[in-house]
Amino acid sequence: MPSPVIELHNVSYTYPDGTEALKNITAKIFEGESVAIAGPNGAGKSTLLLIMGGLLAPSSGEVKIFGKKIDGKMISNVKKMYEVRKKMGIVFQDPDVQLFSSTVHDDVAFGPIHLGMSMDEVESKVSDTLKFLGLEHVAEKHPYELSGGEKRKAAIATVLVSSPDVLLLDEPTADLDPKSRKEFVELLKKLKDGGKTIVIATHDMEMLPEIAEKIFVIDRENITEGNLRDVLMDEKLLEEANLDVPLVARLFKMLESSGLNCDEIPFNTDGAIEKIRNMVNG
Amino acid sequence: MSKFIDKTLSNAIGYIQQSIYSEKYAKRNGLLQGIDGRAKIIALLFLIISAVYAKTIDMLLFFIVLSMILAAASKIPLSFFIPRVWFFVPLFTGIIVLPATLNVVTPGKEIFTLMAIKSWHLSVTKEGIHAAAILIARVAATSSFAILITLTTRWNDAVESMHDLKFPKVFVLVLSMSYRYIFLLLDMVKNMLLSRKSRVMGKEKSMGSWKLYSPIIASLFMKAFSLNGKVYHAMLARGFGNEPQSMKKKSISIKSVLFLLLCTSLAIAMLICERQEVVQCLLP
Repeated sequence: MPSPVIELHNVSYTYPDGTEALKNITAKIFEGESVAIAGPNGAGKSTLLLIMGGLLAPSSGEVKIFGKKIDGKMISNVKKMYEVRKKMGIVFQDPDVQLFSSTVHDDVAFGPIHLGMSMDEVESKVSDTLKFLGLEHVAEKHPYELSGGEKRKAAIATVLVSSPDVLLLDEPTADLDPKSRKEFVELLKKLKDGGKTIVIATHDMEMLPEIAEKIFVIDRENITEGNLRDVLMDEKLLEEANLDVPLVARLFKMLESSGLNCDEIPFNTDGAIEKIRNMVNG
Repeated sequence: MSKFIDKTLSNAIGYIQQSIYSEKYAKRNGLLQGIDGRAKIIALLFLIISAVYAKTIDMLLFFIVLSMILAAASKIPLSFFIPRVWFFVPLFTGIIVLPATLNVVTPGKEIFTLMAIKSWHLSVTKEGIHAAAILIARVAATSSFAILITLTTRWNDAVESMHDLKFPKVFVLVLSMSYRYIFLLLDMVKNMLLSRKSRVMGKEKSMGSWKLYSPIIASLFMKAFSLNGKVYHAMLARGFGNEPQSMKKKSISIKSVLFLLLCTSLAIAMLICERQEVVQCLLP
């Protein structure tokens, strides 16, 4: 049984202006899992991700990251948080938040330098990461000069360079064109196959069947945990959370309701192709 | 009103374009671009100091010509370089120095009279013009070297050089981040003004338009403040501990060392010459 990397117990968070972002949230994420956090706008997904990443202390409740209890005092202690920072990588929704240095190279190097790696190691890791993501040509560019897709990739590079065990991604496919989105999903699949724990906060339901196995549907006070397939089949839950069923699944559901016999509804195009092929071949 | 928007918009866009355009010169394969940032900053600073202490027009003209030679050798078109230098000089120094040409500030041999009321008169003096010319030439020479640094050094090289030259870490970090986010904030301003412009029909009174701009300014402050918190979280997540760590350290090339030695020697020699000239003038 894998050990939990993130544990939340009755976590609540209230913003300084009194807005309640989260209330009594309990969740566990285990090593090697690919988990989605889905919910409507303003449901508290980003806040939850910041708490999971050890960047924000909850107003009440308990947070444990790699078994270590995280509170407000601990968060501001660089030494105590060193291991957590090294193991957790968080990619913010807005790449302009993530890319704060004057070149892509310096931004990618920022993490390893501040985590105490030697200069040779930093240079080698930066160069490998940029190569892996196909960003060598923009290394010396100012983030302002990058396209939306390049910015998103560069933001991921700033995190991947430190080889974190857990990746927390906030709306990673927002603003991506279809080609960049496809490339990004492929990248996530690679990382998932490499054994990384991935947590994605999103309402892009089309992407989830490709990556996630487990899903948390969140709406401030309520969190529903479930297997991705079960949750995607629960129309009432999805409707309440303003979420959509992936297009392929919707199509097969309609076909099923019009009399076609589908044992298992596919959620992505690969699954749909296989299903149709099986149906045609009898 | 629309004039105000258009001017603000064109200035915002112009600034972004000009900054990116300036980096074009920094990327060229010229003399100063090939010199290490640290060596270049020290060398040109020595020349600036030497120009500040120069007291004769000849010496200052020498520095101005030298800056033009350096610009040409760095593949910066003089048609771009000279207006860039001479735009600020008359604008700022010219206005400041104007009273110094008058007899009430610098008495001396009067060249022509501007105003006369009974026995009192306001005239331009030869000594005043000389003092003004010296100051203008000094500002032109020093700003020429300063502009050469900015035009031939890529921003990240300049920041790294400042770091290596032991400028305070926090200062370097703040400077680097300011440069990063000024574009983003300008982009926000541009978009907010464009959105505003797209919804304006007809003419507005100038006072009214100013009132309408205050929410835009407030909104920009709020966005900048919110960005500040998020960026801090992004830094914290990557191991930042309130103390910025150093970036890469590069070895310095022989060419850069030679350039540094040449410029510092020249600057020191000019200072010595200047001093001797002053001493000779003082001698009977």
